[in-house]
Amino acid sequence: MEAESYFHLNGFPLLFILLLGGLLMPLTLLGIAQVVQFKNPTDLKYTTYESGMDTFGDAKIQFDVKFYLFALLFILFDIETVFLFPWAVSFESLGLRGLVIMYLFLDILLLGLIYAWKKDALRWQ
Amino acid sequence: MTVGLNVMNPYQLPDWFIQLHVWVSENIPGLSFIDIMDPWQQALMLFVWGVVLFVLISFGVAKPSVVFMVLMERKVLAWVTQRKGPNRVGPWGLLQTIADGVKLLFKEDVMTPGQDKLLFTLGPVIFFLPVFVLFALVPFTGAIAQDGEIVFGGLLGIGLPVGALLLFALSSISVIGMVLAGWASNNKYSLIGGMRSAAQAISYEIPLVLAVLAVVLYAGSMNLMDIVEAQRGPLGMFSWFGIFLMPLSFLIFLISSIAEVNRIPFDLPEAESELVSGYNTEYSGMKFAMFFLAEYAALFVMCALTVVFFFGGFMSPLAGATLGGIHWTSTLVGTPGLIAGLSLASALENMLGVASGSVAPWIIQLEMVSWMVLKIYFFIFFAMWIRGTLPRLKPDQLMGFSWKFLIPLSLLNIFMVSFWRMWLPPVKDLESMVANFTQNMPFGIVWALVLVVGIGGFCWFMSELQTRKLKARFTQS
Repeated sequence: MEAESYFHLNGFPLLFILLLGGLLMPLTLLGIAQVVQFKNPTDLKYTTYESGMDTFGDAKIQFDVKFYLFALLFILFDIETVFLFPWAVSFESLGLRGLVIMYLFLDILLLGLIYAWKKDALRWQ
Repeated sequence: MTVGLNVMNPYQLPDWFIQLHVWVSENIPGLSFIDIMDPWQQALMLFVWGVVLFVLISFGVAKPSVVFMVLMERKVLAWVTQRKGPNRVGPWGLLQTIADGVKLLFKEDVMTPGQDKLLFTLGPVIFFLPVFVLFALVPFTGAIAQDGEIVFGGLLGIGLPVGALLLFALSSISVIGMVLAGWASNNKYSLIGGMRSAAQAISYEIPLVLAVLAVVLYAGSMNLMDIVEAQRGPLGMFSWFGIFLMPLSFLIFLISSIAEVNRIPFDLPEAESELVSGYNTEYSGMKFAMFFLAEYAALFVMCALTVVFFFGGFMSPLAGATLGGIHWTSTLVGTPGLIAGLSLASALENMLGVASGSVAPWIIQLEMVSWMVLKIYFFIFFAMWIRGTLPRLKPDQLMGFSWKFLIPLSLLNIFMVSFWRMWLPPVKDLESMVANFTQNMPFGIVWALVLVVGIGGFCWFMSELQTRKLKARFTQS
């Protein structure tokens, strides 16, 4: 059974090699482009393009707080899905008890969503 | 050698790769130091195989399909608007995309002084990073086994037990690239585009994952190959439980996958009419080409996932049982004993009157990959068709649609699918399927009622809410 345990790990080293490839490939492409590209610098070319209007101010500003509200809610629900996946895989062995517990868990989350809804956290204005 | 397969091959390198090494070490005199049993050499072989796999995926699958898809998109949109589309470069404009790619390579890479140089370069790189790994996780064909022995392992880059979860984890990395690109551009349009893309991606990821959860619940595994194999059954395409048992999760998945890859009607991050080009306004040359490439690759992967989760992956829609001759037993490592009804091969053998199992494995692989590619391109066409048909949403509608409609709906869907799964477990043969169904008929009726009343009631409630809001707004003003 020792051999069996390899199965759960075998893909991951390959995955990291592929990720490395995914990192190196665009860098190589950019490097090639840096070498072969034509350069014809003019002053107007190096200005920010905002539909031809004169740009004012800096674009590096603070974001609206609504983004953070949605990000917080997203983290909650994302963690919920992480909890749900193991349950889905071992549904058979957990049986009715697992089903009822998960229903309760989902109910609490649904209540949370309704609460956020009533508090107007889901409004995008 | 009487050593077990796994001890000899712990990283599950493909058989032909191992055999090549054995052949090289035995036949080429200078290379006799190659030894498969040496752990260091195994690690080195793994590395070499990883590089080979990456090259195969990127130049063999991803880039050709992107090149074709870009042309297809332009052609389909042209037909929708009664134009001819690109038809100058090469026959029927086939070389148009390649010409565009070469042009972009030679274009000047413009960077304005106010931009953050490092992040501006990192944006497209991070956007690009996970795309090829996603290709590696999609099973294009299944394993073929004869008499319990695997003849061919199937076209699958990496088989992982947590494939479904990893796919979503990786695909959400590209959002970081978009936000970085938008912020580092020092352009207000880009900034708005980047922020919108982040907001949209996090909103639509939850219904997407919850829709897949319903499929995982029924398949009992997160391995994509297992999910496809679980859809194999005596009824042919009616065994694809993804679409026939849970059409609601298919709809949720379809809508949120289009939103995830930022296409019309959800293309707020790059809305031409309001944001010029969104987060990639300031990009030019190769960096822009990389955004373009990765976007289309992501669309391909999303369509492939739709097929894998809901449309039986590489399996043919024809029923193996009705054509007779179920003989190719596809034994996946880890889930042995599933019976494959690979219909066309079986039908061919029946027609020719030859012994079962005499069709060569590569023909069956070809059949499987053809079905897969056909289905994927159907969904790609569907996405393009939608692009030619539907108008764009407003940002507040977009967020509201996800949080107030899709997420409650997908939670409801989970409730119902798990109920269904409890009292109508998946079975493989027709007899026990019928027996199960007649036995659990009351539960089935209750479930159907819950489905109709629940979903109908929910949709009615939502529309009622919307109407009331609109009425209130009109009476006010």
